[in-house]
Amino acid sequence: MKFWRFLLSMPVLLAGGYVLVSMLWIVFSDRLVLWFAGGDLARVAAMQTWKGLGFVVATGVVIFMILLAWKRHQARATMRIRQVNKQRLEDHDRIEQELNAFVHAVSHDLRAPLRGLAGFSDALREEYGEALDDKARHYLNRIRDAALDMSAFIEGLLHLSKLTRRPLQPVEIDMIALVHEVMDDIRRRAPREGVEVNIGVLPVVTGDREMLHAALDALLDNAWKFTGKMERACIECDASDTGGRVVYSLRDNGVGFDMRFAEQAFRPFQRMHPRDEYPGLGLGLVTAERVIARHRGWIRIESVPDEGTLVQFALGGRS
Amino acid sequence: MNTSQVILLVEDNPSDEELTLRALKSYNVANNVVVVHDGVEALEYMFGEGKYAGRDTSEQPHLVLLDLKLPKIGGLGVLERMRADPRTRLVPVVVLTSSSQDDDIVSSYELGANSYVRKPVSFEEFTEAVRQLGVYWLLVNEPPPR
Repeated sequence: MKFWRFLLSMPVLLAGGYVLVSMLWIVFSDRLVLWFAGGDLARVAAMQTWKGLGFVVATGVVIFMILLAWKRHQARATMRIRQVNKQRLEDHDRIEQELNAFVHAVSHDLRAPLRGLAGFSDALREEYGEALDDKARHYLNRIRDAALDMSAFIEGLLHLSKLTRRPLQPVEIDMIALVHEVMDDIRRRAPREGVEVNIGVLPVVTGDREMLHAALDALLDNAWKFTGKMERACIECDASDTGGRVVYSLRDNGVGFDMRFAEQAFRPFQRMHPRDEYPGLGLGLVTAERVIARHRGWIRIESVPDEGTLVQFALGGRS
Repeated sequence: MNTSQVILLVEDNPSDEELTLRALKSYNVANNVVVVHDGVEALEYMFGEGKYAGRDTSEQPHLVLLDLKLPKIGGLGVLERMRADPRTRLVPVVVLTSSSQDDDIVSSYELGANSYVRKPVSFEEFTEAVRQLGVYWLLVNEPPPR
């Protein structure tokens, strides 16, 4: 199939046709010359010279015309590609603009009604709290909590979009220092004793500091959170060089999850555990995945319920 | 607290307006709050035009709480015009808005906002933010000489 397609391709047809036509021309025209010249060898030689010149001119013209046609064809194809690219760029810009307008609207307009909900349910409780019974106050709390939850979701989405949509600002990053920094943040946020944290040798990497900080924060915060109920919590972070690519591994001995639901783990707001047991928005892995994708890397997660979770990721370039 | 000090609240959302007033009043930060509901009205108040024709424009608010998303002329437009006019050039302006978009924050400071505060959704935090603003800008801060 491939062979036939090659045989029928334009360069082969052109070259083959040229050879065939030329050979036929030489054979027949030589006979014609002999017949015209009627045996006069001097005339044969002169006619052969003219015939040769004519052939060169004729093939020159044909080659010129074919090249011209080919060039026009190429120019048209390039033009088409340019048009398609231009169209795509325009589409991209338009979508980008729409997305910005959308984010702006969400940022401005979606929070105000929630402030009203939370604020007036608080005002009602403050001013009329004594006139209400426990159940009514409970309902008011529910209204306020729901408004605050939604506000937190909006906040999370805005933060995610802000973080992952801005241009990458790659710098050299000392990963060991960054992991320590993130762990310190997490310790301050959710202080807890008796957690063993082992940070191995991590090579320097080129990447966007703020984004990678957020990704590591999301992953380590998960490890911290989901080891919360373990007696001897242990979090390990190391790196290995596999085929020229540095693979980072984050291991914890936390509650883990059933791998049947692994696919869902990277969806926004998807949770593996009830929110009252393990708080959070359900944006951690999504954040990490987006950041790593922006760095042209990959991430995968393996988990065994009640034994622990292993997250591995690699970033696009080695430094 | 000196109640003769005027706060100009520029806010189009009735819920936010009421919550802000409630917060200001619950801490006796100011009894003298003028509320306007869009950018045009805010400028008319300060420059004594339109609805506020004849107002003594030598008396300017001691503090402007400015929302960014407003009908007709937005908060940034109001800020720009205030800073271009000698009467309102030095009036302290606190941008009090829902958005925490970087470009909003940068534009506000570029146009001469004195402070940028994002309205928290939680009423407790919101009340506390408004109280702190009132205390700081009306009591702690030394205003420009009039």
